[in-house]
Amino acid sequence: MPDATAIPRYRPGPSRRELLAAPAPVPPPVLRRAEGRAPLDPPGVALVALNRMGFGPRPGDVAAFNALGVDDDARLEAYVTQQLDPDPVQANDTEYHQRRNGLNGYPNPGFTTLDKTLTQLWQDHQTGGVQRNRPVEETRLNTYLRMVYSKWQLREVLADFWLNHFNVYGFEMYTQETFVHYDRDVIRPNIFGNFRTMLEAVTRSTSMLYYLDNYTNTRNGPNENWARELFELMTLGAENYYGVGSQAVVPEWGPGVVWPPGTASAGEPIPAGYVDNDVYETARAFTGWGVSGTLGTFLYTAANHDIFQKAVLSLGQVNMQPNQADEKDGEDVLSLLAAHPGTGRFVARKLCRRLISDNPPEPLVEAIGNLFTLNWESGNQLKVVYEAILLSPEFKTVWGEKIKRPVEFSVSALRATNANWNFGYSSQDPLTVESDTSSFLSRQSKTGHNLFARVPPDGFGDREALWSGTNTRLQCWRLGSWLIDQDIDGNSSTDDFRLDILGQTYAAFPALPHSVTSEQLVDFWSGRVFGRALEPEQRDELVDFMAQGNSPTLPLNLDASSSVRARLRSLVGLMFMTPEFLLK
Amino acid sequence: MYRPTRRGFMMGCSAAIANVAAARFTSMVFADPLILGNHDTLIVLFLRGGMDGLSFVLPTGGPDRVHYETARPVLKIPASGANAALALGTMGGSQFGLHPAATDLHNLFQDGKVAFVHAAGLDTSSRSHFDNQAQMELGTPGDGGTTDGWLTRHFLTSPGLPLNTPMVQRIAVSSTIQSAWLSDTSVVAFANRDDFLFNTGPSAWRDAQKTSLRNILDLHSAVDPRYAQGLVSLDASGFIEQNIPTLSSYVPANGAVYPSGSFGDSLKLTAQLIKLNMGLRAATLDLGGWDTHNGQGAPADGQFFWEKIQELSQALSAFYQDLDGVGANAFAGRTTVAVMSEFGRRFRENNDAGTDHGHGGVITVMGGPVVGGLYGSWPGLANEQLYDAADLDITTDFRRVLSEIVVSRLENPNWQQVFPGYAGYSPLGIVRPILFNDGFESGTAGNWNATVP
Repeated sequence: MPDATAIPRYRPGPSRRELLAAPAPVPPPVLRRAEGRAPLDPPGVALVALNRMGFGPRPGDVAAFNALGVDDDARLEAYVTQQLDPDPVQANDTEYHQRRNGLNGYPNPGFTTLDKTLTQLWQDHQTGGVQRNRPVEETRLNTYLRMVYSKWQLREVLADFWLNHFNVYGFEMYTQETFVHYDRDVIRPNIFGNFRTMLEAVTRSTSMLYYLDNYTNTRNGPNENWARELFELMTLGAENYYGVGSQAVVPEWGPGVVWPPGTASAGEPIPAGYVDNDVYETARAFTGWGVSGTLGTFLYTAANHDIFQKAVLSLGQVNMQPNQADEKDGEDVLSLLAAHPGTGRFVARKLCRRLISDNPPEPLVEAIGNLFTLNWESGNQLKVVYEAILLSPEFKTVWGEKIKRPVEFSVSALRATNANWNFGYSSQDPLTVESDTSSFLSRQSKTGHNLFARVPPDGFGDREALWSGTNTRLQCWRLGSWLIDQDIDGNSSTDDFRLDILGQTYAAFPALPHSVTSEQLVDFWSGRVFGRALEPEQRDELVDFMAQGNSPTLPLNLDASSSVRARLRSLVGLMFMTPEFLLK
Repeated sequence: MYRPTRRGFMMGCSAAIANVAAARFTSMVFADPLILGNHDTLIVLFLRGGMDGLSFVLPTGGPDRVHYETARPVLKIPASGANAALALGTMGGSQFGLHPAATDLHNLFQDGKVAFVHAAGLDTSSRSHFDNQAQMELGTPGDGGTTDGWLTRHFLTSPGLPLNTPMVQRIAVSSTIQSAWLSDTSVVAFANRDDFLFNTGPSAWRDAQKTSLRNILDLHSAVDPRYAQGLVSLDASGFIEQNIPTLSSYVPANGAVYPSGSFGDSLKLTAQLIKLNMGLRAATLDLGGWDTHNGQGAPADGQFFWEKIQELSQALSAFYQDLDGVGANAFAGRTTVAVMSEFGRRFRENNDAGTDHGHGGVITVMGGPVVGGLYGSWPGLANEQLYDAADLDITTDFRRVLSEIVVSRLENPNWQQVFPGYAGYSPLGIVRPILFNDGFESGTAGNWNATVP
């Protein structure tokens, strides 16, 4: 539990511009390297940005990044500015748009639910019972399409972040049918907006109302599942949990730190955290918040609401009078949580962990948390927060304090090799996911990580320790090597592999016949997979693999030998297996 | 009986590990193969989500029965008649019974192979799933920031155990790694033998690829855990491919039938590994689905909780049956299963035939070394006896159960290092100490005798 005396005050601080220009609590930039690691140097800002604000570079991405400005700082600032303001016109996100809609010769993925309203989803798939999990499955395929092909990479990183922060398990009754709405209408419109607004959208969403049981939370039968996870996982976090105990004995957040205007306790001291009684009071505040069984939309039932007075995060003082207007009790709780500096710090820590390091420096977390809380009512609160993180000295100097999780592993492999992957339904059988994609999803699941597949409400973890087991490692290797072997027409005698390893190689070495030395192949593909050359010892091993006993400078005729072509694909598969490929 | 071949083992190892392993294997397996089997195996099964201990082991008589029936009008297990609780005996003057779906487990209880420790668990003031799971697996109540798991520390402090051999000494039967193994870089996590093979990509270059990968990983495995873990993954895959037959070819002994599904398969795989006598010392398994805020259901076939208990009971029972045997096949006699959960659930049911997060629960210990019975100190269910006026109180710290197993069965006297900050070593007598079980001093048992106060 936090030591309340060590926590900075909630008070009007420097303006956003001042904070960005001179983040006082943050130490000056220091080139940092993960401790106890192989001697590999940070790879430069382009790769930091493309790997941590996105899912790794596609061919041409590093060059495009470097063309954005005269130096690293200017390039990063320009890239951050672009990525924080994605063009809302889908058609301008060309390749994603074409694949999503089956244009320009790409097969149509056959999506049928992504444009349905919530009530259509509900009536077709929930009460109607048609392919119940189709909405979540289509959302998953569409999300993979976006991760691999959309140029708005930061948006996808953040969509994944928020869908896990506000996790619902996607493949169970009620969430599977409504997941299109949860992703499209609840999370995504708020990614660059305001946390309080997103939190309320989540609270009112059909998916969450079912997943954490609030649909059945009534004055006669309270159910505290939602209230508890609202505190622990979505706002204050377990770091601000004081366990069982009286609200009155929770220390104050800091001397003179009071609730801001617009909250139910404006002007009163802010408690340092919450106890179980806050959870119970909050469960009462959300009684009656449910779902229309016919329409699938949010429905407040006043008869199910506990009308009596409540005390939430108020050191035991009543801060919600009896008989408030419909839904007001719940609204009050959401505002208290969104305005609490503990929420700012908890969310800031998670964001810094996602974007910078598994163990982000505490001064940065505090500065970002303060910024989050200062802007709690601002319409571009989250954009301001991301900008401060991405332009912090830590962002550009830290490397390798995180590893790719399995979804990031496979998406970055597909991006590095300019893969042509459909992520859609079969053209022969529109009820079935296309077979290579179906295999991909099943292999992805065996890593322990696949989209929308986390059953408990905490979402998939972000720390390396969770993703360092032998199973995760081996399943990623198996998946990477399987990916390089999949071809488009299913006929292995033709070289139309989905991962365009040959085509990219031929484009780089166009002279006919395509005779390329092992050294050239390793250096070219190191550039694609790692974004740079590896240390000499690893390069030698890769060259030895490609040369197979021949001279590293002996040209290998790719046109003449299917065996050499297969070895080249295995070389790229081998690169995917190196620890270096996991770094971000 | 299946034996690992020397060649198979050596091929599955990196050079560095093999050097260490050679000495050990030469002296143990090949000089006297039976000695390798002369150690216990601990299975730690975590019931994720907070298992409702008061629907699992519950009062069937006495004053607490009245409280129980009042608090649980829908969920209550009948004391008699259809779907009645299965009698377990008395504790603290009250009669107790077992959930009626646990008939197989009840049979084992009657054979003296199952201990139920009631009002047990993690005694902090938190009702959080994630805090509590982490703190139990880290073995440090109140501190979720511990950097290694309790099983990690057990193996680090276990006298005479080389940490990186044999290959399947420590396994997580799971797709990701549990916190009990935090900072253990060579525990082998795998969910399914047939999926744990290095067998994708162009086949002509697979062996060469493995060689190159090993060379790359060897470059930094001494200093960088990411490289070391890669090496363990590669070694483990090779070892498992060569030495462990496919699950589909595995025939459980004594006609044991595991429930279908991944949990039954996980326990079956664990039994297979134990019987292969390849040095498995500990395995962690999970069974999820216990967060029953709604639809837990009345005690009747087909209800959610009924099905969960049935799966648990059938799987544990099949596991015991599979390992049961005599002489060299007496695997059950050296296998202990500890079953725990992050908390019990609220005493009073909610309006959705469910229960919210609570406090005390049941720790179940099963196996040949177990002295069956009801354990613990029953705190009672009257309002003033409840924790926070809401939940079953905790009178037995989960570390009391685990530390006894660590000392008495795993022959590690260093319980203070396994559970730092725990001062109350006081075995309940749930398992027979290995000294008396085997009748001779094996391994470090003498050490144990000398060290434990």
